[in-house]
Amino acid sequence: MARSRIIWWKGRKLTRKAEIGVSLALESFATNIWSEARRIVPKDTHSLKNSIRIEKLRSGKGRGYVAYRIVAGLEDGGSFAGSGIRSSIGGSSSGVGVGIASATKGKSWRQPSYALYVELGTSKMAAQPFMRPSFNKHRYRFKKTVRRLMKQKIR
Amino acid sequence: MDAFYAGLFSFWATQSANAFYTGIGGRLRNNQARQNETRPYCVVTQVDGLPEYFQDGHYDELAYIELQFDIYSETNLEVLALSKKFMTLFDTATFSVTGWSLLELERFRSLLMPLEKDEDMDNPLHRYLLQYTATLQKARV
Repeated sequence: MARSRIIWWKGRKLTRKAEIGVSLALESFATNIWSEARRIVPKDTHSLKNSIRIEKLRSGKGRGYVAYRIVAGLEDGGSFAGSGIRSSIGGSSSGVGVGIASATKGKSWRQPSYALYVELGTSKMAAQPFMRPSFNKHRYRFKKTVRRLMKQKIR
Repeated sequence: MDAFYAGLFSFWATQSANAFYTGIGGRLRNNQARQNETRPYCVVTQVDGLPEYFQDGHYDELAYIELQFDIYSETNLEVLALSKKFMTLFDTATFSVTGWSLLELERFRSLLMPLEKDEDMDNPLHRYLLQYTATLQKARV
């Protein structure tokens, strides 16, 4: 007999339909943040703009976790372990949030990403945030959409 | 939002006896520090602001302002001590904003940033970053 995956959200069982719905809402939310970040990012050489991308995170085994991450920077060869900034969107009860990755790669300390300096500024350069405003612009609508989907699909 | 900044800087002006204020010698700068600013000092920047939150086809008369405070100092220990004093002062701060009520001031990020060192700097610069969201509600007439 095939085993079905059960997802729990705030103590209630979610259906597969709800999971698909939330996943679609997340994907659309991630795309909106991505396009807004690309629109407002400072475009001196366009390399920072071109480095902004969406990454889909794998679901945790049996946890029904759906997440996307919007990453900018990573000039050091494009390695995932490099530094950068990201917006993580979780379909689980952990909710939504914006994070800033630390400036580490492997075991050695590296210079932080240029993207991080643009977002947060330095002592000589004012901050020109592009990730946080992009995320804020869409998050209120996102919460509402997900809440509506959950209400519809929870049984 | 000018009224918000007027309220913030009025609040700041009343804190001259505060440990953080005396710690930085009153050097709170808006957006950018002066050239060769005496250390330690603090810079406030607006990260983002949603003027009025539009929801369900009507304004709910709330406004959100995100602020970033950067504390710069010569030493790591000093920057950490100043950041603690800042949080003690600002986490529970209340001040009046003309036409609005300040509902909440929430710290959502506090980070010790990497050391900044340039060729034209005599000493490297230590930095502590704090970000807050201020939630305001339009005053009822």
